Amino acid sequence: MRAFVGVAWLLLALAPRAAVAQYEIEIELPDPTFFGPDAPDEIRHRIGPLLAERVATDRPGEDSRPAGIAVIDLGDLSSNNPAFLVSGWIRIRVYSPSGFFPPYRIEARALSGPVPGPGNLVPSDVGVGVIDVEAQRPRIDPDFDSDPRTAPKNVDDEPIFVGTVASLGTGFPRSRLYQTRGWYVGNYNYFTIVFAVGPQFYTPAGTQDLGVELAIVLG
Amino acid sequence: MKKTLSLVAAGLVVASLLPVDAFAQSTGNVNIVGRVDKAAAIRWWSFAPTNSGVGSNAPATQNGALDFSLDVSDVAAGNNLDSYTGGAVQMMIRSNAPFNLTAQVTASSGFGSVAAGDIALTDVGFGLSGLTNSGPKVFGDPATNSVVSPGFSADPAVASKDVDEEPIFSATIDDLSGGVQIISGPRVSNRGGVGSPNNGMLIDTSYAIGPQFYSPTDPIQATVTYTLATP
Repeated sequence: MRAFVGVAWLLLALAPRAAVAQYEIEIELPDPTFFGPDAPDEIRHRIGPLLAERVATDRPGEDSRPAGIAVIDLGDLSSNNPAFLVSGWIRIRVYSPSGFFPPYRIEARALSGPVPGPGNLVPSDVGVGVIDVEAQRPRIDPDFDSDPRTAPKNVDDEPIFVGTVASLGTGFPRSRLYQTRGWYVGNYNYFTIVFAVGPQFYTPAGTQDLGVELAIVLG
Repeated sequence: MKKTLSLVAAGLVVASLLPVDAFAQSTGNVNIVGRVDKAAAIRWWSFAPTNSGVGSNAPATQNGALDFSLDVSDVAAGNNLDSYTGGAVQMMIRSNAPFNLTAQVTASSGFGSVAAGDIALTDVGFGLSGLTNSGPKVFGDPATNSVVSPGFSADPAVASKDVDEEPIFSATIDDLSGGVQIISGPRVSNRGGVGSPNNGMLIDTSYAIGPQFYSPTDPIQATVTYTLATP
């Protein structure tokens, strides 16, 4: 009898650890018309194309699912761009095939970034924030609990972001974007991550690639 | 025996659950891609009249797009007793790369020939002066390191006159008829946007006319178009 109690305890203790193995961070593909030629000028001007991939899946009712990688092209970030802020966002869903979520955290870190140099665009120029979380009692970290698209600017036209890609850091542990504080029954949770850059007289440079890794961690 | 079996079962459960973590796909990546093109901007900053010169920019807000109108009014000697009339239009230029600024008279009317006693484009003196770094967000020292093209560095409002009271200008807007580079220089702006007061170089572009007994003409009008490029 004591042994069965032990087994039951083990099952309860390990269930969340087992569940994390199947969680997936996926990129929600936007409505194509949002970025298409029929989109309002302001949207097409301010938001570059979002590229994401779909991959095969054996999920019931789905031939394919969005993959966990996306590219946001913000275009020209020099002062040629008349936009107050250039921005892009991604709707992300977290998938749980088990049909429930224990408390978890979404974390992020920067993987790579532009080379530092005088006048260069640097990771601290890229504002980042989390909005529209659909999860069980989410608590967004104060550093990222702001929509960078609404950031004000100082007298030199430099945005004043609450959180930036630089504040994510590049190492471990990753920075926490938000955490949930309860169990959630369902297959999907959602959140939106927003990036914004204020056009400035940065040093001219070709394609600038800034990678951000997102991760789900239980607990 | 029963206890042993139970422990084995527990061990199997643990074994079946632990390896799953090793195959977890619990991360995703977002790549933000962009580029920084060469950029330059030229804006109106202020105006200092010379005697009876009157002017305004549209819009009349400092740092607005450059679209300035300078009215020198009557430049007939006897009616206008000033030595010179005109003014200095101060502009702010910004760039994230080396620049050159060209000026060209793109339209004119009412001007005639000197031989016929008319006021001519050669009677409108022109020059650049007052190069100033606007603040701490300037990249290096473009005010010192820029090069004004020969002939354009004199202030026409202080040009000397000959015995007939005709100005002796170093340059006039007639020199701009075909479009000419008037200044070139290094990168001006160290980040910041077009609204920053601290990341530009101020340049005075001065125009001056010495009143004379020209043939009566009304109006006289000339348009000078500036082009700031980052080659």
